[in-house]
Amino acid sequence: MVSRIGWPLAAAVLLTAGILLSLGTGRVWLDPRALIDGIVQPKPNLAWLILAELRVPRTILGLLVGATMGLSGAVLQGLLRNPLAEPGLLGVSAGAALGAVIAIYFGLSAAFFLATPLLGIAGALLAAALTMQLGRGGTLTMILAGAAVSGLMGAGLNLALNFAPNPYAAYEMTTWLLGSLADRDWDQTLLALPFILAGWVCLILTRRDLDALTLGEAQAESLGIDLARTRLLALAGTALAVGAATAVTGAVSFIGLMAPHLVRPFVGHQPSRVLLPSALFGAILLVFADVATKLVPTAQELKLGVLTSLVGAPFFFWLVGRLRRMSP
Amino acid sequence: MTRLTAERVTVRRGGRAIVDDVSLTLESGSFVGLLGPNGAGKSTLMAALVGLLRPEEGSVLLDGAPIAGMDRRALARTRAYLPQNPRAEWPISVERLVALGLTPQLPVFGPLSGTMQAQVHAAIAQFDLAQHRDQPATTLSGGELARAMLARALVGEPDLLLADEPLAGLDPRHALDGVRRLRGLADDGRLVMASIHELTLAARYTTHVAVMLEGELIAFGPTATTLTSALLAEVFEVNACITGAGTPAAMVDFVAA
Repeated sequence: MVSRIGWPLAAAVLLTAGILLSLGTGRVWLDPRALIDGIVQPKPNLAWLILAELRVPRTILGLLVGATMGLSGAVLQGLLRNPLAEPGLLGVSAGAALGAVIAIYFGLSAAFFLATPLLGIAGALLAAALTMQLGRGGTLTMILAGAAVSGLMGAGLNLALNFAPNPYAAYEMTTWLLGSLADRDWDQTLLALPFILAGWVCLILTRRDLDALTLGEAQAESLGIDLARTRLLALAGTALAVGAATAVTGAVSFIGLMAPHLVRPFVGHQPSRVLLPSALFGAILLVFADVATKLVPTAQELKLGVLTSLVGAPFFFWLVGRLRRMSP
Repeated sequence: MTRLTAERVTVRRGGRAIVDDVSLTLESGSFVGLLGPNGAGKSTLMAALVGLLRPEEGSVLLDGAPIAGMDRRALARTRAYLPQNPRAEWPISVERLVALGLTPQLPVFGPLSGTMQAQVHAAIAQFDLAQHRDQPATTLSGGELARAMLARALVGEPDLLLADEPLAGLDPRHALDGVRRLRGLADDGRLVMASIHELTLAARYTTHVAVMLEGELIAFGPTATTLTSALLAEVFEVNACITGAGTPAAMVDFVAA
């Protein structure tokens, strides 16, 4: 067990290790010395090009996406006071996936390479607007609306796969849906960045409200919390940040579910104190998962979303077991 | 002097008036017991009085100003509300739970100030929770949790406290302790209203009673003169016998009618 003082240190060490590994590993192994040389003295050689054009944007994107998932998961678990809440709950991820798949379906991504993330973001915002419109009035209504919107977007996805113009397009859509950080460059990272940052601001603004919600909705409201505003901020923040992240990387599951649970005992369970550590550990988890996809020797690329699911599902079993032990 | 007034408040659900044309005025220094059978509309009236629920007709005024138009945080600083069976949803420490009562006083960013820390510690001491300060609130016993919630409600020094069945589920000793504390708050000049099912405790410790039946307020006044055997017979449909209502030695006994 990490002590309460020890965990920021552990997080810093893990984060640094993850970043260095992420920069060093890949199809070409970069020597740590070459890495440091490349950072200290930029030289336009092959190692530097790989670092600056491939590894650095990929690592930054990994950090952004992981932190987004961890932060959004922590906010939603706090808002819904439900340990099983995760960023996909509100239909935003499914909306982003549908938008991206539409771009692939109509061949827009081949014509303009930012079409996939752009339509993905549009899909996420549309899904969020729909959830907000349907789910006004209460937290439970919002979850149900999210489930309905997820279902609708999933139906659209299946429709696109069903009527894929050719097997190659179907294959491209499926592999995109599996989620990956491979071959994402500066353009895609910078496209997602403003949305992700705006989403973070919305999510972090809910922190005081989440604390008050520890007492339940009635007491939170009696303490002057505007729950409609809290729900709107959480949904808008998730739509912007998770939507943009999913639009660039595809579906990466379980990080948003796991990260809050990992940090919660170390910060005394107070929802506002879970947010930033959860974002940090989301980033760490995602970067390590991405490193693992590069290191596991497989003929085809092991997709990031597949790996996080493989690791995340046993965690889910553990969580279910723990909840069963805790409830009489 | 604080005055909370309900003016012809009506709340409807599914076409039925849950609270029907209720008017009453509560003043600081009084401990008002809200009595009535299950389903009489007590909780709904309380939710309307604290501003969580907007009545379909009528209005609630705090010192003459409609609370519907008041700033949420400003309102939260002057009145506290405890719903039925309040509980902590996460295992946060008792100290942090009590500190949540200062939410309306907090600045947008930054931690609790030194004065606020002192307030939290004072509230913890006042409700005899010092040895539970670092204990997860989810592991408290019913009586301890009830005290912790009272400390949470009162840490910000509100003028009004409205508590929905604060004595529910408490054993006699803790119920007695709870009701004494509520009376103590009223004696200190606050306005306290609590819905209570324990008629003996209500008869002994409340200064006023408000009695509801089927959404209507059928009696309201000082406990000594209002809480009579005839009233209890009408409201609860039991043959009741009351002696010494409004005094610490009051007794209420009842048998099936």
